[in-house]
Amino acid sequence: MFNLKATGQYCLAEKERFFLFLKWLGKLSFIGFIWCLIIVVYRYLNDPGIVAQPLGWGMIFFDIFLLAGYLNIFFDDAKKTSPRKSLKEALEKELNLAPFLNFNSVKYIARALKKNQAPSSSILLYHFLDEKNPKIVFIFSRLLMDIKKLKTEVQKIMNNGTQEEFEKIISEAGNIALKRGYNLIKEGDIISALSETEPTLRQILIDLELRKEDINNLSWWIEAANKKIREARRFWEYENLLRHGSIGRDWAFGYTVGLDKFSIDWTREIETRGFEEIIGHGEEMELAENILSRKGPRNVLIVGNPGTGRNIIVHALIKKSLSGKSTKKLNGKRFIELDLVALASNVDSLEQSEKVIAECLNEAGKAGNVVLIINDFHDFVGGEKKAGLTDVSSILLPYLSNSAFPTICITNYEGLHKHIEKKPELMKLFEKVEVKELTPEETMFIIENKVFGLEHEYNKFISYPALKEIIRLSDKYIPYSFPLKAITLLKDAFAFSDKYAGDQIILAEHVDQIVCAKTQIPVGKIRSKEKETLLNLENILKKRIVSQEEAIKEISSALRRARSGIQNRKGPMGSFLFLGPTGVGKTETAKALAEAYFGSEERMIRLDMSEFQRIDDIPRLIGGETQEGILTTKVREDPFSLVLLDEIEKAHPDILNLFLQVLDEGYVNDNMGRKVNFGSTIIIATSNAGYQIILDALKNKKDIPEIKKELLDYIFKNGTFRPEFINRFDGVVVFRSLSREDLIKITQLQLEKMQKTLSEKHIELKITEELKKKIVELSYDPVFGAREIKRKIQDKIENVIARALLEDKIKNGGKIQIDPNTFEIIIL
Amino acid sequence: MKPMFKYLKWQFVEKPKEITGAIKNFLAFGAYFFSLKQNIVYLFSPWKNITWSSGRGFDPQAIIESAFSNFISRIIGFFLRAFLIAFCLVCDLIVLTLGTALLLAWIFLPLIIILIFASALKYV
Repeated sequence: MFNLKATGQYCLAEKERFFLFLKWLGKLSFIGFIWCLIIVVYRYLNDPGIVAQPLGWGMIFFDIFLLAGYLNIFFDDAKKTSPRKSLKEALEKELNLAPFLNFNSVKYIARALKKNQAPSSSILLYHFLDEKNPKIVFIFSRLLMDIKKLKTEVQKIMNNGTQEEFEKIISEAGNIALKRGYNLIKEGDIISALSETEPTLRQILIDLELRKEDINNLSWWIEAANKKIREARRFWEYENLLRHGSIGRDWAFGYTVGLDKFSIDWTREIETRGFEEIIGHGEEMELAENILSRKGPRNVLIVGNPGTGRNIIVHALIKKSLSGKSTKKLNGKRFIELDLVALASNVDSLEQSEKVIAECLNEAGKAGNVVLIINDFHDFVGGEKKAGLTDVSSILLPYLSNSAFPTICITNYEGLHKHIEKKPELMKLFEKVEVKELTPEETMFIIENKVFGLEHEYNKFISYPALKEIIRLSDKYIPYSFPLKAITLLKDAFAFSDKYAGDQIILAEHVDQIVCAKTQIPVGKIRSKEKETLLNLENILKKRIVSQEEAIKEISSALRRARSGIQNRKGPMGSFLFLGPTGVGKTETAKALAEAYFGSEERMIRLDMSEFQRIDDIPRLIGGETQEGILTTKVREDPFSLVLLDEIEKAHPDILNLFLQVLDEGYVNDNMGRKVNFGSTIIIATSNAGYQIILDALKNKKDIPEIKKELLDYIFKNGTFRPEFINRFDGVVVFRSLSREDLIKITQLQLEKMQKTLSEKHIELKITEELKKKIVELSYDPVFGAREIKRKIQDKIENVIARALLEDKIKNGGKIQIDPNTFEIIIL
Repeated sequence: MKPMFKYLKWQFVEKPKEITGAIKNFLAFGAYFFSLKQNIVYLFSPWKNITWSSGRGFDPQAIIESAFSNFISRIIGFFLRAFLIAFCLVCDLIVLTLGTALLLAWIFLPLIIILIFASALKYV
């Protein structure tokens, strides 16, 4: 049972006015004290005998000032008191949750309870919308919501609620606080809970495409920021004091004069820069720490894709070592990065360079307190032959095997596979620590941490929807890894804010514009346009595709299912297997889909799978020792595209197995171990396996479901595809063979295309029924479908018009017609 | 918890604990800043690990020379470290004195406020 009055915070809330009065009294008393002090000094200088009275008053004023300050410290500390009992236990046992509310929540609830025994969600929200509370202002201003306006809206629907509803809100807020790892329910938690129940707020959030989790996130953001500010103010805390550095730490260790010239002292850098908050990578950091602290070779090879935060792991280790919280072997060590590029640019020859490197390593070994870092290690172990890149592997090898000093080398998967793994004698001395990509949620925390600094620098304000858009778009359209891609986009949003966001606020639309400019993908319109495209997909495709109504309907429905979010999926945006004879519009449908969905036919990655019939062809697809993968490179460079796998039945079965993962998980690892994401692609595989069944069906006038069943039976029976492969597709679409009437429509479309081209030259081409029929008559073959039509139009019409144009027989602005019998030009 | 008890706990337990914690932090930082632990552990180590070797073979003069040089290096190391340790102890002593004064001032603050008021009344 909820009982607010029994809590200490309630008593404090009742006395808040008194303490506010004390604050003012304290200020006035201080002024009074200073005034008395001036009088005392003045009188003392003129007549020392009459200072007693002002001195007495001065002491009284000072005493009041002291007392007011003292009581206010007590009040502030009492407000921060946390309950001793566990919130988890209270929630489980359904105990009174009032003692777990923070001061402000108690204050607002007390106000709401004054007039209503059981305040409704709207009444609660009304009282929580306090414009003087910086946390509340922060949450709503980041959402670009006007608190006053919202309060007016909420006021309109304020009616009494039930005790049950009220307690449910508090309990939900308790669960949110618990999820955050707190034992105290704060005002942000209650607003999060209200965002699901209060109708006005709920509707606004729905309109903004935001959810309860977003309010949670904002509430946690402000709490984390406040905590950081509070901690920074507590100068007496050990971690804050550590920033002042130390002296005499390295007196027992050797000089590293040579090494200092060509290195970066990261320990000193981090000591002066201050400790940044490390988010994620806890496991990797712990593993690296263990390797560096054990007996024997203490060499870590940090492997990860660029942008995953490989250096952050090193910074985390330094932070721990500096604060003395790491292992005995690492505490107080100097983490020094050997700058081999700077070294190479300062020496004249390769021999001299090797000599200097050997000297530096010697110094590091002798010093006894150095942890050596080599960034982009692959570049220095026989990587590409570029200026400034020396192969240090042979020089480094004895130091690594003798455990002269702990070493941290940083590389990427490409460098690891291409260069480092090729030197097994070097590789065996290292222990690998693979760096995972951070999740979008972790990345959100990181970019939130960077927002205040950037806002201060650019004098701009970024909205929360814009931050969400940064995460969403960088996840979908930017190829490299989290968190770097999101950080880069955030910085771009500020850097280009003057161009895109004329006013002071950076909105989601501005982020769309930046991504659009960076990637050439029309993301700005995509959300509204995507909905429009999905709803009208049938009509859009029908404009280009003749006859295949069932296929178009199936593709459109499957894509709508996939994109509406009703399916829990990890794979590509959509995947289809098109079955049907040649020339019935399978490829044309893929092209039409690429144009409708991705804005251009150019956004289609087309692979002829008949070129991948051997297992040795896999490296051509996903990359090999000496070549880039055709598929993986293109998808990595252009993740928002349609992948067309023509004649899939001709590919080697192992290649089909490779696509099982792509269709299921939405990614594949290339030969370098890089994760290539197919999440923003639509995959279409075409096959004419069993086309005879479709041709026969045309004669027997069977319907599509029946044909599909027969076709799949045939495919499984012949082992063309395995059932698990077929099941991975969102839709298996059967294309019927084309009738004469269909071919006439296709001829019309083809001739219209030509008509359009000629009209640019101001030449009008008249299309006659006879001409269309003649073309179809000449090209009709059920086995080849519409493929012949294009050839015949080229042969019989395009050639003739081209010749006539060159011979100047057709004048600009002229009107022509083609004789269907002789295929000669008739000038009209 | 009753307000009076809460106040007493705050005045005589919580806040003094916080002040003691801050004093501890300053003392620990003093030890960190002057690298107290390392300087004690390596008190007699050569200065900056600078040592001389007598080279290969038996050469009494070289052995004596290198032993003397190494001894000097250790002496320099000892004096500098001993100086730093002494300085660290002095600093920590100052911190301890000031910290204790602050702690006592806090504990007696209510009394000080009353005393100031009482003595002020004599003048008014």
